[in-house]
Amino acid sequence: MSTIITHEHAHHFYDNEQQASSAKLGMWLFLVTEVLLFSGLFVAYTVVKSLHPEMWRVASSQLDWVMGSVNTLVLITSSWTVALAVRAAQTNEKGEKNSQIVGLLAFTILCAFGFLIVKYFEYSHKIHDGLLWGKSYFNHPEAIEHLKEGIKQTFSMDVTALSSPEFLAGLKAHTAAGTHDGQHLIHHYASTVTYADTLMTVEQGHLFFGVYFLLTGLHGIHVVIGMSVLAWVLVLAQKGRFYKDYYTPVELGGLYWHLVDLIWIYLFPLLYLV
Amino acid sequence: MSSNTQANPEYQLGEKESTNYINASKGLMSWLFTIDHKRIGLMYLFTIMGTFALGGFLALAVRLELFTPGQTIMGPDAYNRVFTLHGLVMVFLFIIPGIPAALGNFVMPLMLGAKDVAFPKLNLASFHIYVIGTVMALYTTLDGGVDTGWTFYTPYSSTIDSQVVMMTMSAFVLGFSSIFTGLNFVVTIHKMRAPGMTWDRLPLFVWALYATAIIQVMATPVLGITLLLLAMERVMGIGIFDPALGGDPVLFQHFFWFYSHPAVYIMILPGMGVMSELITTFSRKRIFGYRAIALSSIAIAVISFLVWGHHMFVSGQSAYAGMVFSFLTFLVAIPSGIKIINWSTTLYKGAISLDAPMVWALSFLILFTIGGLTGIFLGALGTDIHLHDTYFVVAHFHYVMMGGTAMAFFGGMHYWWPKMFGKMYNEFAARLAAWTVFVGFNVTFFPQFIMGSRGMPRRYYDYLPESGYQIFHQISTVGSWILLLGMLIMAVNLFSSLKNGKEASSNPWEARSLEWLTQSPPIEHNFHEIPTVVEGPYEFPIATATATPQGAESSDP
Amino acid sequence: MESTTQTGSFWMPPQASTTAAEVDSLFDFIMDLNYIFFAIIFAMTVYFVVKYQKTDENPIATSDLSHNTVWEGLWTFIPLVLCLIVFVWGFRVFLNNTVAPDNAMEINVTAQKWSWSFKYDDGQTTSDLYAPAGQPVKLILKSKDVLHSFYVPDFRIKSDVVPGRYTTVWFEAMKPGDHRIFCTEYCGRQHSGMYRTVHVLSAEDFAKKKSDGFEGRPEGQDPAVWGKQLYSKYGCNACHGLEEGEVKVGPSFYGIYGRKGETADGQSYVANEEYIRESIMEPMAKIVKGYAPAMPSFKDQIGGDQMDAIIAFMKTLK
Repeated sequence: MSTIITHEHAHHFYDNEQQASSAKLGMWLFLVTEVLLFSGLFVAYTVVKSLHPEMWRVASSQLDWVMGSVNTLVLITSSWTVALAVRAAQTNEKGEKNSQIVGLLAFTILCAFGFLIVKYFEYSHKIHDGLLWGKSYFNHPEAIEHLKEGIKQTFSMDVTALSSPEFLAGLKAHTAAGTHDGQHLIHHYASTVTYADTLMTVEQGHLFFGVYFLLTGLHGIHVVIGMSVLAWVLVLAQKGRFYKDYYTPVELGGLYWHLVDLIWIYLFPLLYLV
Repeated sequence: MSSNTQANPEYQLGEKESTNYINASKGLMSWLFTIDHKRIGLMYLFTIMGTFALGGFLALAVRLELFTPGQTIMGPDAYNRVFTLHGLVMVFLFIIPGIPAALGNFVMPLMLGAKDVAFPKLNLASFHIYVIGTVMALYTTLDGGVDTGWTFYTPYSSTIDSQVVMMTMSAFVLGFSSIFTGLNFVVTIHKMRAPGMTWDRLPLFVWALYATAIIQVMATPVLGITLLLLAMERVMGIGIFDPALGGDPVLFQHFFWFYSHPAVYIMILPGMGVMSELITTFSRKRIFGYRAIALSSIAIAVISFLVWGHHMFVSGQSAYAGMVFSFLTFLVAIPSGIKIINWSTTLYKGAISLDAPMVWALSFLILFTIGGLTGIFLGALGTDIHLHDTYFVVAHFHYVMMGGTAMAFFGGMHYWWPKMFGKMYNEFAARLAAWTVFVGFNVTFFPQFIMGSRGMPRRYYDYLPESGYQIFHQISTVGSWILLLGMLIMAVNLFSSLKNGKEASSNPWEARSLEWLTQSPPIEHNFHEIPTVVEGPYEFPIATATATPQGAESSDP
Repeated sequence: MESTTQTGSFWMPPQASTTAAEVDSLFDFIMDLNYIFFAIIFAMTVYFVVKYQKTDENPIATSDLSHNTVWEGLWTFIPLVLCLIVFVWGFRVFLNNTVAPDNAMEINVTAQKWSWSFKYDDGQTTSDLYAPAGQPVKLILKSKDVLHSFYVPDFRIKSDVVPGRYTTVWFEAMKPGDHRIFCTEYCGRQHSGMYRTVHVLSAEDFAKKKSDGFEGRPEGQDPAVWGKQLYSKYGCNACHGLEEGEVKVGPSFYGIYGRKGETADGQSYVANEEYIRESIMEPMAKIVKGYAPAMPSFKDQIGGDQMDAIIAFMKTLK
């Protein structure tokens, strides 16, 4: 179906080799800038987390790690298929493997699409629960209730009883007597205090979700850009442009896609598992 | 031998080709959508002249307002907007792109013996993005402006009622332009060098651009994300910088200076590169300490990433953070000092002529020395506490940025003007302009050191008449008028040369690097054949020198 | 306000704190280095430029010197050593200037757009700072809104004032006298108007004035006159003019007492004593139509006597 077009290098290069290696170096530098862009957000993540460690623990438990894991698997698979596509282009003898390249790229794009669908469900869940950033968080009182519920489960105790006046009076008496019971109660009391402290921190929960939406949102934009780049490469592959002497776009598109995956590999544990 | 022109007859080249890059194609579109690095360089040059003029007039307005205490020509709100815009325009629209994107774009591929930069379309895209960012900044100004200072410190910037989001987005967009230029230059310098152009034969201007480009690529994304966070802070109320929401306002300063301190070197390194070219050419002598200058550019680029905290000695950061940042700041001073002494030593036993570019270069040498030395006061913790955020700082960075980079920019512009347009300007007027600017500059900024160390804070709309600062303000304002005069002489001289100037030969300064091998103005693809380089860029005529720049085969007809 | 910057050295304002002399001797040392190095570079450059002019006799360079390891080593090493000296010296001065002595008297400072308030251990607050001579004073700084910076040139002290955290700065004034306070972190419209004064008093005067109230109405002074002083002391003048119809950030005080008008949410008001008191304490309660809700509260700063005096002053404006 396709006619083979031999690629000519641009006028200002000596040869294809110089052009390809320039393009590759340029892409690597671009990836460096991308990493630095995200690193800014990672620093924000670290600082906010160290300011409010308790809140962070509580708020991050609101994320659905199953969905996160599914997405991680999806992206790792897509990284593998895009690598295979590059391999296919490298070993393509003018037109022999065009459909293989196209198929692998299409599968990669499909994975990216799947990732976005999962992300859509996650986002709509968070939006429904009001687990949002900044002011929007405070506009949804149910969000704070939600977190408080989470804390109760984490501490798994009848907290109302622990903070009741009767309990405190009992605690005082037992402590004065120095009984074993007293030690036990003190332990419980300490938990109550931690519990109360933790409860206070949910006010700052919006910071976690702010960082969450910034990081995953920026990453999501990169997924969309990656999909578009790969789609463009797919169209060119369809036309039979790529073979063993010229496959730079496939390679660069692949590199970009690996970066998108790599960032997610960092995001997933930092947001969902920590 | 009685003169070097006889010793090197090929300096006087024969007939020019009638087609060059300027007249190769016609029409506005052939310029706006060109991918020729020379045309892109010129478009940058003219745009940047415009932004410099704008920033300059804003500065004149600031100086005029401070001529008397109280209201002189505008109210405090207008003043705050004017000084903010002056800073933003000068930093983001003039000084960062100034030398790399205008002069570098034009000269660097020629110096490498290449036909273009590695990614010509990306180069054009950088320019378009730059224009879009500029238009956004100007639109924001008309739409109410921004009064935060160019540093956008939170929480003022995140709470105040002005066009901060639009302005940060403009700087964000400009950042992309800067990143793309840097990326393009790194790849070009790695991959596009002519045969024989080894790293130790690269002109030092190229080394400086290389170091600059590395910083542009590594630091600018952090600015991007910082401004994005600030915009999100305003639009979404995300709270990372807002203490009321549990955030940390000082975090913004860390982010901002992590970019903006390296950015200071994005501004000065290319100027240092230009200096190395001018000093050697006009003393007709090999540079002293080629390797030391080249490596010190790289050293500066690396250390520049580790000193951002010296902008924050009084911000409440820990004393030990202050100590580390102060220490590293002194380390970064050393490579700059080495460069200054090396340039000065290059003059030793040279054959010096005080052509206009050299006058600018000597201005740079003197002013940058003052700027650098006064930096020691600010790097030392004990004295910085007193001087921080006073006019002393204002004077210091103007000596470095304007006395340094801007002087180098004008020097470079005069140096490469004949190459760019094939015309010579009036030499007398050019020297007069350079000397006038030198005098005006010192009259404007030296009094600011004194009033600064005597306690006058910066970004002040007003000062008390009895405070004793007024006389310094008035001298400074008068100086700004002398500066204006110098700039006007320069502008009239350069522009009239385009019409009335004498034809320039391919190598009017008898310089030794490759851009002087091709004709003036250059042909469309720079060289008919890629030259082969056999020697370094500063092999000036002594007994053993070969005839052409870097010993390359002449590619002119 | 007395001028405080017309004396001192050529470069520096007067030394009024115990640490100022240390800062200045470091400053002078660096200045000497500056003069020496500038002289060397300048002399070298000018000498070479004059001596090695290109002429018909001297058409080409007479040396091919490309480097000299010994010299280069020297001019790397010597500045490096000097820089290290300055660094260590600077750090020591900094520590002395930052770490307050244990016996320091503590004063809480609050900055807001565009005024300062100083709160002493007995609970009274002032808009200028009062301090005893010969006694270390530690200031604990906080901000109500944006960044400010507390700077007293004569004391060589400065610290940013950051919302959401505390910063500190200390000084020991040497003798009675007045010194200017500046704000040195840009904070908007009236940034340059945010200057106040440190009144250094002898220990006895300080104790006496403190028990009388630092900013109480001077004996026998007309309350309206005192009110006018308070008007500029608290920075009301930054936003409220005294001329008829003058519009700054807020409405003019001309004819304010008894003025009738409408608030932003459409209610009508009469500017009587209670309205004025409320507007100063709870500025957001009633915003005059056409003005931005920009005024900070003066709840912790303006006391009962002062409020009466300000109202008395307002009554005279017609």
